[in-house]
Amino acid sequence: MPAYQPSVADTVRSLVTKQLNLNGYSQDLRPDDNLWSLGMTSLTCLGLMLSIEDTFEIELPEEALKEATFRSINTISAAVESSRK
Amino acid sequence: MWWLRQLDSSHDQYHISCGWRFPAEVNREALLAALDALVRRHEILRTKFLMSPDGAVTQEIVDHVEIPLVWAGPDWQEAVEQAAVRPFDLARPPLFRAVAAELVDGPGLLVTMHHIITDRWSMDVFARDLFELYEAALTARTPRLPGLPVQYGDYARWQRDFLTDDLLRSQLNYWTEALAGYEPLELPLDLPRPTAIDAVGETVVLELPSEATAAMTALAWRTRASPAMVVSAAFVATLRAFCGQSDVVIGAIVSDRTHPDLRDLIGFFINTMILRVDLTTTELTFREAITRTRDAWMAADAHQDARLEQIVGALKAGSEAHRNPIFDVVVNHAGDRDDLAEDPDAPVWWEPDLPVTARFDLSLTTRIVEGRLRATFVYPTALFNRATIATLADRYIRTLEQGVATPDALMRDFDLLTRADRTLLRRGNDRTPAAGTTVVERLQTLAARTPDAPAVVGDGGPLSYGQLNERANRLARHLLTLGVGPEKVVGVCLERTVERFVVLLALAKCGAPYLPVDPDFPADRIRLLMSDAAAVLMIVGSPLLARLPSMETPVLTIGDGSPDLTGYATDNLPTLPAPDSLAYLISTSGSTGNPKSVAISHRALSRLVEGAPHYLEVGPGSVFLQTGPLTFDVAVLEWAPLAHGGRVVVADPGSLLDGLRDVLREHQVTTLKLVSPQLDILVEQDPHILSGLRQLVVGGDVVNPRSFALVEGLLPGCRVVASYGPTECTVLATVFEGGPWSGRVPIGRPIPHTSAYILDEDLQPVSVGMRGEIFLAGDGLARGYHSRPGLTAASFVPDPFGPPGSRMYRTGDLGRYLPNGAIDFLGRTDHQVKIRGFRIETSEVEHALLRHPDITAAAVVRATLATGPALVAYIVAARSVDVGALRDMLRETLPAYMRPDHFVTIPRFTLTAHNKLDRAALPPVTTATTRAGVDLPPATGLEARVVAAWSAVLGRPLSASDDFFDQGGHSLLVPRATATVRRELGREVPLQLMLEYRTPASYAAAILRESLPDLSAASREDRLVQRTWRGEKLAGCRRVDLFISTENPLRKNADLPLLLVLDGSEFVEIMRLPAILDRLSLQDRIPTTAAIFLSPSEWSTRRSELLDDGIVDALADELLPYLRTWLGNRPVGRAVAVGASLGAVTAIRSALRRPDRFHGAVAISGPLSEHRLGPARPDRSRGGSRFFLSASREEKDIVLDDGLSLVEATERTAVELAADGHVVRSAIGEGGHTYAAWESMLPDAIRWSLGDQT
Repeated sequence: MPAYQPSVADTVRSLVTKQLNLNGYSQDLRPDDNLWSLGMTSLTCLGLMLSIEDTFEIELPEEALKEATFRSINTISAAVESSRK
Repeated sequence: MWWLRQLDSSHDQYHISCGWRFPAEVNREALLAALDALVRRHEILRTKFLMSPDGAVTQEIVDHVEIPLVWAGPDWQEAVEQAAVRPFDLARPPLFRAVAAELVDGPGLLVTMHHIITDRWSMDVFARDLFELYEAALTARTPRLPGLPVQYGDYARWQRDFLTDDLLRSQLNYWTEALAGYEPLELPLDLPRPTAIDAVGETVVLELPSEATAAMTALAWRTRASPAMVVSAAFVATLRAFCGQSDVVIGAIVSDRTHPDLRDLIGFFINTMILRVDLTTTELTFREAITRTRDAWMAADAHQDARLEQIVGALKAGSEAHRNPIFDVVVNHAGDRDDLAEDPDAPVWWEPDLPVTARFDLSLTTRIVEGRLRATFVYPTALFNRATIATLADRYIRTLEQGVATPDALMRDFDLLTRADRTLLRRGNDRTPAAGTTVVERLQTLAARTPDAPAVVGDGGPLSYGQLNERANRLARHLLTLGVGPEKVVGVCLERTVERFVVLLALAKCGAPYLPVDPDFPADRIRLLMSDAAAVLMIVGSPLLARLPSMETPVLTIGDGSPDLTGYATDNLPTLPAPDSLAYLISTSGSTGNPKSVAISHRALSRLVEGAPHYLEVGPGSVFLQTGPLTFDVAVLEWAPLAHGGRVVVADPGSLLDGLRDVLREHQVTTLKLVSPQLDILVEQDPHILSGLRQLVVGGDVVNPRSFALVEGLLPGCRVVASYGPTECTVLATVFEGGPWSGRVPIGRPIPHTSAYILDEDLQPVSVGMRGEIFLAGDGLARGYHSRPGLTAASFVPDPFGPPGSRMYRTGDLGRYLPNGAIDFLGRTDHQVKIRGFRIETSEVEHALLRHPDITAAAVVRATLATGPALVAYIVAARSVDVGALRDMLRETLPAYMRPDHFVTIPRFTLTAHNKLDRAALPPVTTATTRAGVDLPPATGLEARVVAAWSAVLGRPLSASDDFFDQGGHSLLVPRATATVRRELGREVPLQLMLEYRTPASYAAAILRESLPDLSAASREDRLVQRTWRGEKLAGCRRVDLFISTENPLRKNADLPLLLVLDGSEFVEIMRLPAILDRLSLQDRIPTTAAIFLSPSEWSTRRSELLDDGIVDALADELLPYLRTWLGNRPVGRAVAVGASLGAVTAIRSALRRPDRFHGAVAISGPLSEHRLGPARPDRSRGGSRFFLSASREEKDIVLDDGLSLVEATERTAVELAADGHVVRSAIGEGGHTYAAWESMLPDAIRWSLGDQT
């Protein structure tokens, strides 16, 4: 029986929750929520970036290193998917 | 919140103000309603802070607060300023206030809040909420604001709960390790740090162009860093240049809203992280600087639960007054998250001009405004000039601009110099070579042209140019017969007489270098210097011969007619010294434990002499004096007048310059060269003695600004010049010719044929304002260190800016260019120190200490004590070391100026992470570690006064047997200590006396000896005889001195009046009175008297003895008869009791209670109304005694126990005595409660009280 493989989006969600300290946050996190509006700072974004690269064992290409990439769970997942190809 | 430590005074340093504009006219009710709703919404706006005595702070929320809103109208400026600076009471919320103002173009609102309830983000929240609530109130709708699931109090609670002991411990461990061996940034302050906090600030604001700002943001992404890290990296790089320190520690103010629920709260969500960025590397790129900043930032962020004050506690840092612990510089970048203020609906800023407060020595706040990075530098005006910060800001922007454009280029290649910098660097230096005409040639020319002009005056002189030249020619011929010649070193040990110029000129004519030796150098040092230099001869002035040790070098004695030179020709020698031959050697302290000798060629000497007229008045008509010994290279400057037709004065004004006044006056000196500590001594004494000068040159790297400013103001017709120059650059390198300066006296600009560079560690020129090492180049450079090739190669390095093959000297001195091009001296790169004008390699002293068998480790540092700079030796010893013996040992190898002032024994040295001595961990010098002798109480009144005076000067108690100089005293304090004693005595006391008699006891004894009348003058009938006397009624033995003043032949047959003088109050001490009486009677100002002086048996019990009821009878019934017996059968006349201070009480009592024996009394400065004077049963019938009472005007400030001033007490007693039928005279004089005042009162007092009517 194959081991359970969490989807990219699930992994990204858990990394976001951890980096943005969203445990116990009063509202639910939706995949297209703007993370910047949730109080993400350049510093937490940086932490998120590094943890994503570590976890997926990828190096995001320079053109992906921009604000828009880290806007939401969806955009991050897309960037991860494209750099895994 | 580490701020809390500083909040006691609710200082306005911790206020934050912000203003906004209203789109239309303000509705008052709506604004009040909005503010009210805001206070209800945010609990923090109605929270009070209570500080418990142990420093803990508790928060308490109150239900209702008054809304502090002021309607200021169109004249709002004062209301706004008041609101911004008026202190808050933390216990009385709200801790904010608002001012509504009518601006020219519409209404505005200013809000000032205490920092304890807010931060910059909160101000945007405040504005958003307030304006939304205002709109809602206007239109009576429900406000649309996010809900607040938590309040500030919850956050504070989280913080406390989160930080467990284990977490704290591990975080503190991290910080202790991360900050191991850090050195605080030393900003080159323009002005000395004031003793009181002065936070008045100013700002310098610069912007980065929009393209560069965009590039900065993009680079942040690419380097996986945040914009805050990039702006900080550029700041760290700028500070590295500004301070000349590669390992930079600053604070970074960061927002600490760790949870999205905190986003909409107002409150203090700030953390100040310590950022330690080490940029030490030779190949630094901006990308690398960003990486290092990012790593430091991320690590600090991961450990920011430990609060700053806890880290400070763990590091035991922060002991220095008025400095923030660990860092004084902070960076704060706003906009690392979505910015509420950038919301299109956000209210428009209103930024009224408000006083700027500078919470740190320097802070940089950055924020992107309309696409451009705006950098705001805030600095306290008490520490920096605007030009300095403007330069720094400019360099910052250039660094950032070039860094984001070329992140992979080496930063040392960045073009950071402005055009002004370049001009400045080029203009200051003079690369032309010196002509190379030797001093011999110049002097011979003058001797031929003006042979009768005076060349040298002073002891043994004068000598004209002709005489000097002829005598030198003869001596030179003689020296040649002794094997003296080029490159053959000749030691010279000469007195300050004109002869020394004959010797030095003769040696120059032979082409031989001289090496000056001080006869007070330790014997071993002299032998070492001679053997090290392979000296072929030692020339000694005959009076000094006995003081020199035996040595292998042959000795030639000069003086007393030897050597006989009559056979030698007086014309010039056929040859001149070659320009590149050696002219002299000067030994200086050496870091390897032995002295080293700087070797100077004739060419280098020519470079000094040739350019001298540009900055030194040395031509015909000038009279030059320098006060240093020949071993000090300043003496070399004497060649300048001799080469230009001026006159040199050779004189010894004494090590403390007591004789300077006379020397200046006698020789009409026009040009005086001093070192800074000497100027301080003069300023302390009487700077007016300099008033005849045309030029004063003050040398030394650090010239005391107070003294310099004082003489600048005092001597309007005099050029006051500061000079700088290591021995390695032939006496002088730069001079400061006056002009505006602030804070420190600059060392100025290079002298002719000299270049000065200020370079960073990559040997690149620094820009204006940046700290770097001073390098010197040009013809003045020494050949090197005599027979020390390695040391020479390390210090004299290739000059990349000069012609091929040229060298530059690495001074080890730090400096920077001021905006006007003058160089500002900023200290040393190494451990060489300068104390009282002497350059000392501390390692040489350390080596000397380590020769002691029990000392296992030693560190010598310069410490600034209350008494000024001092050399302190820290030692680790196997067993306890006797400091006295250690001092004796050092005396054998080190000259006096290199011997430590204090010795501190410590168990071990603390090392830094880099295995270097942790200087910060050395304990402070305390008196306990150096106090040796037993504290004996003062034995005489004079001794007590000396103890008090010296203790006051030292700033701590001294005992009578303590050596002033062992207790932190030094020569600079001697004038002050002596001045106090002089004031007390009212007469001159030579400064030199303190150098010979170093304890209060010996000093007082020396003054006493000196004050006695000349007993050897047999032609007069002066007599002073001392005996010991034991009375029946008083316990103990006393010294009694009998003095009979000169007989006046006219009165030969008159009865001899008697004076009974009570010492022991603080009277003139037996010491002065005999001498004064002697003088007065010689001048026939008082009748001939026999005076007996009574000392107390023990000085400490004198008070009780003088007030003892039995003393009057003892004096009347025992001492007076004893005196009569002593005088033999001479007829005696009236007897008068004399006393001052407490002795005055006893004197009056004697006359009142025993009128049968005493005919009157002299009472000076006595606390007369404090004590009953007359007998227990007064006998009114017995009037008719003579009383002389006096006090001095200044004593009206002395209030006695009964509330009367000493003056009133004297006057009242005079009235009462007169009422009782006595003959009374009272006199109010000048001078206070001092010996001087009493002395001036005495002639009148004695003459009158003896009934002399003349």
